[in-house]
Formats: sequence, structure tokens, C-alpha cells
Amino acid sequence: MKVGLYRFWEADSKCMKSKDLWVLGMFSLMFGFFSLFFFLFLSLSWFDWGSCIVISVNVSSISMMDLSFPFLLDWISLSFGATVCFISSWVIMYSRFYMGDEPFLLRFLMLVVLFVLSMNLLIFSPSILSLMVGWDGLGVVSFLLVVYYSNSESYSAGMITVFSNRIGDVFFIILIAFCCSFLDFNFFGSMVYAGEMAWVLGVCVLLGSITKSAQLPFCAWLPAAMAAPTPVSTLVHSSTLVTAGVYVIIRFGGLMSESMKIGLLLLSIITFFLASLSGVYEVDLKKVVALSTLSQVSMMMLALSLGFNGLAFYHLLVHAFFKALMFMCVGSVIACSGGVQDVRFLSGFWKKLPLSMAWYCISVGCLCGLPFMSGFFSKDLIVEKVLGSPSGFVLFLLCLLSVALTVWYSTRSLSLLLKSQEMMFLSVASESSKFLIVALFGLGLGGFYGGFFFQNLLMEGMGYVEPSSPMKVIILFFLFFGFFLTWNTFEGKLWNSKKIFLGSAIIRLRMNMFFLPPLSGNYVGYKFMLYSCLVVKVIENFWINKILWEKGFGMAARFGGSKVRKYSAFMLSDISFSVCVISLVIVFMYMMFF
Amino acid sequence: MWFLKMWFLITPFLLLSYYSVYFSSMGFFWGLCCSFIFFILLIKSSVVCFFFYVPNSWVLMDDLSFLMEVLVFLVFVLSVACSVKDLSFPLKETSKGLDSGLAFISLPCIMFFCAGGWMPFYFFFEFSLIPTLWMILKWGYQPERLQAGMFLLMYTAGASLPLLMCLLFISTVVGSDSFILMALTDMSHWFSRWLLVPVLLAFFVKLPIYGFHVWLPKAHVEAPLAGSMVLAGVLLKLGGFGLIRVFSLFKMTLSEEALLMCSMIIWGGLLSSLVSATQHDIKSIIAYSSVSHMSLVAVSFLSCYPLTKLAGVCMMFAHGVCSPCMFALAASSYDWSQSRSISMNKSVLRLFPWFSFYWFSFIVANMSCPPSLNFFSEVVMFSSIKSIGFVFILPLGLLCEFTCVYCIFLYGFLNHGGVSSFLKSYPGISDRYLMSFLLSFLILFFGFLGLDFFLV
Repeated sequence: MKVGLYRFWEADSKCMKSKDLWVLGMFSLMFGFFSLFFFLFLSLSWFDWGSCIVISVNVSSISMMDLSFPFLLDWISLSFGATVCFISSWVIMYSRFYMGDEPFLLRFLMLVVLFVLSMNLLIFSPSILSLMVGWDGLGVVSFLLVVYYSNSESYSAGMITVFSNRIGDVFFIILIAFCCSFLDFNFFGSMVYAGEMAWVLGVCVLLGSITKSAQLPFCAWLPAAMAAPTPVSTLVHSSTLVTAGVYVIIRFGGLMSESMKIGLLLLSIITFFLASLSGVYEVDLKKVVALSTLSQVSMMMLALSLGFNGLAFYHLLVHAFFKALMFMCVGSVIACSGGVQDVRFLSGFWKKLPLSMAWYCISVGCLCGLPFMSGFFSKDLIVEKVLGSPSGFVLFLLCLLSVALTVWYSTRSLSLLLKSQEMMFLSVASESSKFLIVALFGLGLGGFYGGFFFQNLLMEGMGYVEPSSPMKVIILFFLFFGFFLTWNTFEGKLWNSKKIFLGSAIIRLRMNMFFLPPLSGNYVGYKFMLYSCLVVKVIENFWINKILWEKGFGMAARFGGSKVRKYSAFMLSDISFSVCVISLVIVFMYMMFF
Repeated sequence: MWFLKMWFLITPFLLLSYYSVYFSSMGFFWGLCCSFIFFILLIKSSVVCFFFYVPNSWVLMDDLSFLMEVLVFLVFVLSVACSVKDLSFPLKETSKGLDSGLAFISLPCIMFFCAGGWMPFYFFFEFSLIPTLWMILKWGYQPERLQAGMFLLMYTAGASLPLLMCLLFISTVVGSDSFILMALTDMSHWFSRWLLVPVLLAFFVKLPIYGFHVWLPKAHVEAPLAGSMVLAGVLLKLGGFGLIRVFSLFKMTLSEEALLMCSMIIWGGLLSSLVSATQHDIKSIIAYSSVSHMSLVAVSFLSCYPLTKLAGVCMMFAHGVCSPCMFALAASSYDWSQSRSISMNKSVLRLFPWFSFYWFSFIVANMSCPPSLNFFSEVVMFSSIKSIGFVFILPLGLLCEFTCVYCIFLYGFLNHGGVSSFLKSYPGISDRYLMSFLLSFLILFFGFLGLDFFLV
């Protein structure tokens, strides 16, 4: 036992060949799961679109509650599970390139696999109780992955991540506590008939989901979580963790009332503009991509709040592919430049990393929604649907602006990378690793064809989507407006350091996400520690220890003891004294209790 | 399924037995405990037909007692295995008799959990105090242990003397001290409701709830490893067990006084979790976290729902498995750096990755992350505490969040950062610790497969 256990780890750190072996093994594991889920999905949808399989493991029958771990296999969970496994398999391949010199690659891979496992638990469980296993597992494992580099920056980022996620957990625990009254935890179970308690369940679902999906009050952690290694950001902070909230609303959103959906609508719109506007000014390359993720997630939330669940799910799947691809390309830029993430120092990557940049262009095109690329099918569909629905002029305009903003921040980062003037010559690695090339092509093809592919596959599940309307032209117009904005940015040199650091208050406000990260991270943490110290000083040390025990009971005991000693010494013998005291006490108790 | 559950329980014991040949004096205790645990499981699976096992007038065992007995043996095995440093050959003069001291603590606890009447119940409740005091005084490290021992004795014995008076009084009136006979008589009309105050006070001090907790951090800080493992694992549970017995005796229902107590205790638990976030001694952090968990247990018992009894017992068991292991981890840090301050112990992850893994697992279990047993107990507890008033959701939710805060603080401080220059390699530390951690890890994280055994 001992020998096996220790060799297991030593082999990893010493031998390079075993690293390849581990990576390939885990890749094939994930790819195997992908194929399994995908073929189950195909066979299920071949059989009947509405059919599903439920496998339930009952763990306790002592209380009347249905404490069981059900697994629901239907087209939603199977297609999402297949997507997650597909992306994670390529991410594992990619991490051999990015984390190649890591001595504890196996530990890293184990964490990633654990993360994928929790995500799949979340995806496949219809019961809030077993969903919570995956949900909390996501939060905890993502903490470990964010603090992976174990420096102070990643440590504080991990703190923000785990505490924000824990707030969501608390809401879900409250939700479970209320579901205990219904003796059933499934989203299709008796909680549907909650009656007058339904609003509590709805509020819990809403607040729990927006913490994980980093919507407005809790949006500070997502950019901070970019302190994680890039393969983690690829998997965790683009396609899985942040979409968990969206997925939970797809499943449990029926509990939310109309007014809560309006609240969600407001939150998601504000988050969208918050993220996009700060994405336009952000100089950290990874954070730009993280902010674009945030804005796309709020796009999904917007679709959910208007009731377009199928469209939101479709955009979730498609977005996962091309966003993971985008992160991979950003990661290879970072690896090439030796860890520099600041776009002001990066330039000329079209020559340095032609392959990565080609895929980056493609993913940016997908994100912008250029015609016949992935985003064109999914994101523009949401926009069209909103435009076509009776939603009012403001929402109409905001949706169109969102298209322009998406184009603005994504093309800005692209052109900053491709700009030809050399700020600083930084190139320490090339993209010759075969793992990188394989991973880029594997995920890239998925990202490129994902939109088209899923549109054909999920058409029946999503329901009828109206064909293109005059709105499509307006969307295209705003797309070009976004390109114009980027061009304008470069003409005005908005990206240079002078403009950014000496800019007006409004620019700084937009740049720092309306000062939300410092507010919810530093300020709250500082106040928390301040008040805990106050509690210790005032309540614990002063009132409890000093006043109650030392001055109160302690003094009384000492005083009483000295008196007793005095009287027992002078007046009575010990035995007769204690007899007197005990009889007095008994008389007292008799009078008191009887 | 039954086989699976048994397998999960038995495998770690087998692993530990494989290692026990390395430990002097471990083998004897290991064999004893193992056979006792199997004996208990055997009785539980075969004899209990009508919820109680009453072989004679001294002994009464229900499902709860079986669970607690298993906990006592488990904690005993863990604490012996983890303090082998003190027990290994050649024995230091100072550490002679540590194992028998442990046995002397565990024995009255075993008797306590299967007591059939109030007098043996009270006797063993108090008797377990004496070897604990002895343990702290003889094997503690600092001279402050005298004060700690004094606090321990004064608080717990001082609070339980009124309990003795009340019990004597009740058994004089009723004419018997048997639990079953008393459960059959309806005594609530016979006595004043104020009789509950001294009775509850004894158990609240033993648990302890916030306000009566002053002795606990002192005792934990001064006690040797084995002492604080047993203290956190078993001795705190005497209070919770006593509460259950008292509530069934008095046919407690949720009254306004109980409601007041509930709110005081839950806010106290919140305060103690805040206090825990500011401590710098690892043992003290874990001690305050015990206070906040035990106040949850007290609130859940006070709310008097049938479901909360299950949840409270499950939380007592889970906390009793989890916190001794956290103490053992703290002791391993002490072995490396000769300090328990969180600023002296850094970067365990870089030097001892397996220890870091177990730190993380037990911390995550302590903040009730699923699928650990703590999670199920906390969820069920939430569901019934919120039924006595929706206002309780606020302190409970905050408690959940703050528990996460100090747990993650503790993990981050110890396991990250640069390598501390105080750390030095200490030979022969890993195996015994790691095997005992594996044992508790399996029980905590896979125990949910046999949840019926823990939710009693």
C-alpha cells in the first residue's frame, strides 16, 4: 500500500514520459465520456425527444424525506454533459503544453478532473440535494484551482471566489431546507406545488444562481479568478462554472415568479453593460476575455428572464466552445510572452504565433456574430427574439447596443495583439508543441462548427425559431457600428497608458467595473475583520471573560469561599457546617420546585 | 447496500491494523476497539427490535447510544494512533501512562452512553472529568495548564452540581431513577418548569454554548494532542447526549423560554465563529469552531422537532470525527515547527502534500460541504430550525458563511505562502497520521451511503 502510494506521486514529478501518459490517459477518459454522453443523446433523441432516463440511488429512508441521489438523462443534461467532457478533454491536452514544466502536473490534472466530475454531477442531477454536491464541489475545487500558484495575488482572488460562491451555497442550503417540508427535492417534484412558500424558493434560486454566474452584486470574483492557470480559466471560468447558474435557472427557473424574472432582467442588463464597458478599457488580456464571458453569461440570463430557455441553453453550449478556444489562444500568447498579460506590452503576434492568432480571429468572429459563424446562430438569435418580442423601446435599443459593444471589446483585444509596432520584444516560446496544435484544432473545429451543428441537433428541443426578419439587417448594421467603435478607439489612442491612467472619472468608473471589485472584495473583507476584532475585544474579552466570569462569578466565588472558610474555621466543624449548608439548600429547593 | 456500508466502515480499520504492528501498545488497543465496534454493530443489527436494548436495569441502549459508542471507540483509536510519538519506545518518563489515561477517559464515556438510569448517567458524566483533568495536568506542555484545569473543573463540575440536586430530588419523588420508568410517567405536572434551568445549565456548559465556553479554548490549548482529541471528539458530546435524555424525560415542547434560549444560542454561535476568524492559535480556532457547531446542536435540540434530533445527532457524530482529525493536523504542524501559531506554520502544501490534502478535506467537511455527513445534518437542521421562525434563517445563513470564512482562512494561512524557516523535518510522522486521517475521511465523505446509521 505504502510503496504504491508514494511511487504514484514520485513517478509523476520525475519522468517526463509519464506526464504524456497521464495526459493522454485523462484525455481519453474525458473523450470517452464525451462519446458516451453524445451517443446516449443521439439514441435518446432518435427514440423520442421528450424521453428521459432517471437512475435513483436512495441513501436514507429513516426520515420520510426522499434522501436520494437521482440522475436524470435527458437531451438537456446529455448535450451539456457531452459539451463539458469534450471541452475538458481538449483542455487536458492543452495543459500538457501550458503546464509542461509543472512538477505536480498530475495533481493539477486530478483537480481538473475533480472539477469536471462535480460539473457533471450538477448537470445530471434533477434533485437540489444531489445538485448541491456538484454545486459546492465546483466552488471548493475552483478555489483550489484559483490559488494554484500560491502567491498572494492568487490567494486573495481565491478568497473572493470562494466567499462569493459560498453565498450562493447558503441560498441553496436555505432552498433545500424549505424543500425538506415538501419531502422531495426534484425540480419536477412536489416543490412545484409550493403554494404560498413558492416565492422563497424562487428568491433562493435567483440569488444562488446569480452568485455562481457572477451577475451584478457578485460580479467581482470572475475577473479576479483569472489568477488561475490559463487551462483552468479555459474550462472553469468560461464554459462550466459561470454557466452553472444559467443551467440551474433552466432547471429550477419554474419556481421564479414574473417579478423575479423582471429583477433578473434588470440585473443581467446592468451586468452586461458593466462587463462590456470595462472590457473596452481593460488592459489585462485574460481579464478582457473574462469580462466578455461575463457579458455573454448575462446575455443568457437576459434570454432566461424573458422566458427563452431553449435559446439560452443553445447559446450556452455554443458559447462554451468558442470561449474555450479564445482562452486557449490567449493562453498561448501568455506562454509565448513569458507570462506577460498586459496588452500594452504585446504586439505583432500575427508573426510570432500565426496558428493561435488564426484561431483567435475565428473565435472573435464567433463571438461577434459574423455571418455564418457560431455566434451568428446563437447570440443573434437571442437578440432577434428580443427585438421581435413586445418588450419596449429601451430593451430594443439596449439589445442592439449590446451587439455593437460585443464587437467593440472583442475586436479591440484582437487588434491590440496584432498591432505591428513593437512595444517590447517578448517572445520566449513558440507554438511548436504538438499538444497545443492538436488541442487548438480539436476545440477549434468544435467552436467553428458548433453553432451550425447544435442548431441542427437541438432544433426540435428548442422549438420553432422564426426565420430571419428585417431585424437581421439592423443587427448587421450595429455589428458594423461596433467595428467603427474599435477603429475610433485606435484613432483616439484610447488604449494608451496616458488616457487610461489620467482619464476622467467616468472612464475610471467604467474601467473598474463601477468600483465593484474593491467594494465587494477589499471593503467587505476589511469591515468583516474589523468587526470580528471588535467582537473579540468587546464581547469576548470584556463582557464574557472580564465582567461575567472574572468580576462576576469569580468574585462571588472568591468572596463566598473566604466567608465559608472563615465561618467553618471559627464557628462550626467542617462536617456540621456542610450538613447545615446541604439542608439549607434542600429546603430552598423544596420551596422552589415543589 | 448493507454490505457496502459495512465495507466502508471496516476497510480503514483493516488498513490501520496493518500499520498497528509499527506502533508499540497500539495493537492491543486496536484489537480491543475493533472487536468492541463489531460487537456493537452486531448487537445493533440483531438485538434491537423495539428501539431499545435493555439487558438489565443498568443498561439502556437505543440507536443513539450505539452511534455514540462507535464514536467513542473511533476517537479512542484515532487518538492513540496519533499520539504514538509519545508512546513509542523508548518511553519518555513524562509520557508514561498516556494510553491508559486515554482508556480511563473513554471508559466512563462508554458507560455513560449506555447508562440506563439517572444515577449511573450522572456518575459517569462527572467521572469522565477526573481523567481529563489528569490528562491536562500531567501531559500538558505549559505551566498555564494549571489554570486551564481549574477552569475545566470549576465550570463543568460547578454547573453540574445543581444537576445532581435536581436529579436526587426527582428520583426521590418518582421513586426510581430508570430512564424507561421515568419516560412512562408524565412528570411535567409534578415539577415546576424552573427545574429545567439547573438541568439544562449543566449540559449547556458541557457542550458548551457561547457564554459558558471560556473553559474550552483554554483546555484545548493546554491539553496534549490525545487529550484535546478526546475532548473535542467525545466529551463535548456528553452534553448533547444529556440534552436528548433530558428532553425525553421532561417531555419538552417548544416554549417561549426555549425560543429565547434558541435565539441567544444561535447568535452566540455566530459570535464564536467571528471570534474564531481572529484567533492565531490553530487549536484555538478549532475550539471556537466547536463552540459554534455545538451551539447549532443545542438549538436544534431545543427546537424540539423529531427531525432535529436526527440532525443534531448526525452533526455530533460528524463533528466528533472531523475535529479530532483537525487537532491531529494541528499537532503535526506543531511537530514540524514547535509552534501552533498560524504565522509560523506556512506552506504545508509544498512540503507535505498529503497533509495538505487532509487539511483541505477536513476543513471542507467542517464547513459542511457535501457529501460529508456535516452537510446532511446541517441541511436537516436548517429545515427544522427555520420552522420555529423564519427569522432564524438570517443567523443560520450568516453562520454558514462565516464558518466558510474562518475555515478557508485557516486552510490558506497554513497551506500557502512561502516556506517558513521554522519548519523542520520530523521523522516518522506520516504513516500513523495519514492512516487515521484516511479512516475518518472515508467515514465522513462516504458515510452518506449509509445515512440511516447516522441519522438516528
